Amino acid sequence: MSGEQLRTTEVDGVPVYWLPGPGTLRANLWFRAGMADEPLPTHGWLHLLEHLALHGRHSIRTPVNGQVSLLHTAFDVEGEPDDVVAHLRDLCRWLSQPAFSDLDHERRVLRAESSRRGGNPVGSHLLWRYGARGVGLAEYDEFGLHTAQPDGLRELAARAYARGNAVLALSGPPPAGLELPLPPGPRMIPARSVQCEQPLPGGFAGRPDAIALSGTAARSTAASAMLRAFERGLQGGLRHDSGVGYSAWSSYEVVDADRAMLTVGMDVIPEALRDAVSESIAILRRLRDRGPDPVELRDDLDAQIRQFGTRPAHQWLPILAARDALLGTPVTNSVEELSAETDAVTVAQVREVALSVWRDLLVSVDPKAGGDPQLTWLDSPPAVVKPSDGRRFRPIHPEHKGALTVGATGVHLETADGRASAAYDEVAGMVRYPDGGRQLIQHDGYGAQVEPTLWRHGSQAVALIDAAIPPALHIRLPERTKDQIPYVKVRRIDTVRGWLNKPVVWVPFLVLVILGVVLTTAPDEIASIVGRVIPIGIAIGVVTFFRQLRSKK
Amino acid sequence: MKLRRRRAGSTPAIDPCMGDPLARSFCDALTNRDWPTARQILLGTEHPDDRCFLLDACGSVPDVQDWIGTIAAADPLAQLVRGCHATAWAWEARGGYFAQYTQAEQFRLFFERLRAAESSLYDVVAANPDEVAAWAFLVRTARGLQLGLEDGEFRFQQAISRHATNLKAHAEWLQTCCQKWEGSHDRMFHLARSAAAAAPDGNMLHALIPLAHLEVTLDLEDSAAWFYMNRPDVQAELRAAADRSVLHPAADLRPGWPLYFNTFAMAFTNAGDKPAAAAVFSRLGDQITTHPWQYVGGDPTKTFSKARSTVSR
Repeated sequence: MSGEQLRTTEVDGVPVYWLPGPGTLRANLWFRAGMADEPLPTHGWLHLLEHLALHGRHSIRTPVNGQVSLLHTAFDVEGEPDDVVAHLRDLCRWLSQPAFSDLDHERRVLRAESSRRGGNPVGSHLLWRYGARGVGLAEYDEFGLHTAQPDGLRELAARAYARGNAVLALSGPPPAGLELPLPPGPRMIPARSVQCEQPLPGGFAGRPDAIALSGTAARSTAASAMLRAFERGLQGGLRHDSGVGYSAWSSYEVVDADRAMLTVGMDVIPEALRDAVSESIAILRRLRDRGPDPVELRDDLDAQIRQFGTRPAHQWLPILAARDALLGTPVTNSVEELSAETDAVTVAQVREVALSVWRDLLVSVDPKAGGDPQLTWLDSPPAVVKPSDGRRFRPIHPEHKGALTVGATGVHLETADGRASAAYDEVAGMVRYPDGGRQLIQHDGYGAQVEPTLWRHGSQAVALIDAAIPPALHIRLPERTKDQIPYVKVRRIDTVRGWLNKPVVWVPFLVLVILGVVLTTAPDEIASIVGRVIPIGIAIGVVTFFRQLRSKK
Repeated sequence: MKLRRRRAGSTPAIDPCMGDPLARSFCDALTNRDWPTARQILLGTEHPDDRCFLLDACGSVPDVQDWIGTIAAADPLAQLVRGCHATAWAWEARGGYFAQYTQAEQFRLFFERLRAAESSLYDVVAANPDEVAAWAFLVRTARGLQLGLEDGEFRFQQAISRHATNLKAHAEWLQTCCQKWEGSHDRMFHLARSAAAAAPDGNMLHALIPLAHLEVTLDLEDSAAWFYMNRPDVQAELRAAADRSVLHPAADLRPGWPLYFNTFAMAFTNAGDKPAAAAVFSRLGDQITTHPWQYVGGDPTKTFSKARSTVSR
């Protein structure tokens, strides 16, 4: 095990963490700006900037890479010290003064990349837990690829890639001539992650034939140990004992400076899904109530400590330090420190983490296997609010029931499929299509879809909504194909049926006809007609009454 | 005979507080949303059995969930009341009948309320694992949420490791061990007999014995149930249990005692042991409890009155 202490220095005002070690030099330039920092309409801008920054810098001699995670952006490079120095200098120069000649090209590349993504269980848990803001955005489409423009990107780059918001991690001593010419600016303090208001433990519709469970806990070595114990429990219970699952996985996502979301999951055979849900929650309850088996915990911690020793510390400890320094949390200075921390984890600490995870447990499962008594099934928004005033729109189809209300504070939709609403104050972004379709997305991830093709005077409804939503929240997407635009065909017979369903239309008409008959016919004829009509009317009334009575029974 | 001459209107009413003045004050305070008074009463009730009794009685107070939540966030005792009350509230939604007669909607509400109860009670034990009452009620929520025997047993053990003869924890765990839930007759009798054997004379844990026998008869036809209860070994066991509890000179009549007398009264009546039943009824007076009379369905007060008049003939 390396007994080396982490070294720290500063280059051009940027903190540098490093450890001496063999091999080529690896440099990881980290910034405290990630997906959690982007509002919905600009989600994807950091990803776009990262691509633009690295465009044309790839080479076999000096491989480069970049990624945007929930809370960080990282630029990695590996090579001979001189090459690394040159790359970092050029990269920092670009980041200080970004150029956007390749904007459209990279935008296309990223759109193609984005269309291949999706269906990531951890992302869906982030979305259901945090909605359309902060770390919840990880699962959303990168709407920012459509809204990006040079001025906005330049302003973001100035904040994100400021000197005070950067840390460099090196796998060896800082090479001669290293410079990091970044503009001055402060560190972006990570916002506290805020979960949506919803009853937990809860369940939501996830991937077919799979389950995943997540919860949050304070960041700690005990939390990592609990996650490993949970994954082992799942593997042991569902694969080895019941033989219904394939392979368990786990994920530890840092969601703010203090907390992490812990997720475990497994593919399960369809007929065992329901049991798998209750069994996996039972595993969590076991950890919460009894904690892990002490012997197993000891073995796990020892294996973990051994692993710290086998992986060359100079390749990962400085990166860990960069991440934590940017989050404003204490930095681990040596492998020994990390080992001691791991060694000290107790059964009680793991139990406490399990309790925390259970408290805000979210389970994604095939909808067919929903309905576990322990979970509130989250299939509709917690509160659908109807504005007290506003203009009402009727469906285009005369026989369709429902109404669209566009009020001063929000939109409310009532259709055969259910109800939906969006309060303007709560809107994180509004997707707009050239054909008039609008999708209002609230911060909690719920919202309302307004299609002018489905409502009478629909374009007026859309105009009212457009005026109510601040322009910065508009997300203009390209044309939809014809089959993507909802369309209702109204036949003449539908119109007639619609009229007949409305007594307000045909009753006055009937009254007029009767009046016409009365005024144009002689009184004695009317008397004879009435004399015949009344008994027939009574007979029809009696028959109808008894038929209704029978059908009620 | 006096009992036979009772007028129709004299059927005793069910008092959820079982005639206990402190429980009545506690329920009144909760009805009036007077939390400081309710809190003071709960705080002064330290014996775990008495505390469980108060918390059981408060299940009859309506609308507690409407206001207790805001207090519960900062007061563990309010959280305890919230959780225990939500347990009764959940069963109220289920209608108290057997599962096959319960509608899907009732079940949805039942589980929703149980989850609320479970979450409140877990907050209580997480902050103070020595709160026996919370563990005892958690045995019940585990059963309702279909968590399996492992969870129920854990909670039961947590309760009795802190109060070995806790009546509520034993009664709830006995229910879980019943055949109609997740257990078996063997498991149920093992619990009832081992708990009774370990309990001191005068303790009401002996009432687990008649309760277990009544549970057996639930699955039987009327005549089979009659034969079962009339078996000499069953009658002997019932008498022995009564002699060590309700009929013992040093019977520990803590608040809530009528429940155990009602249990013995029903068991002796069904067993046709009139003298023993009459002895229990005479000590009991009009303190009728819903349980266990609701086992046979119908109005528990009528069942009680009928049983009492039968044994007095």
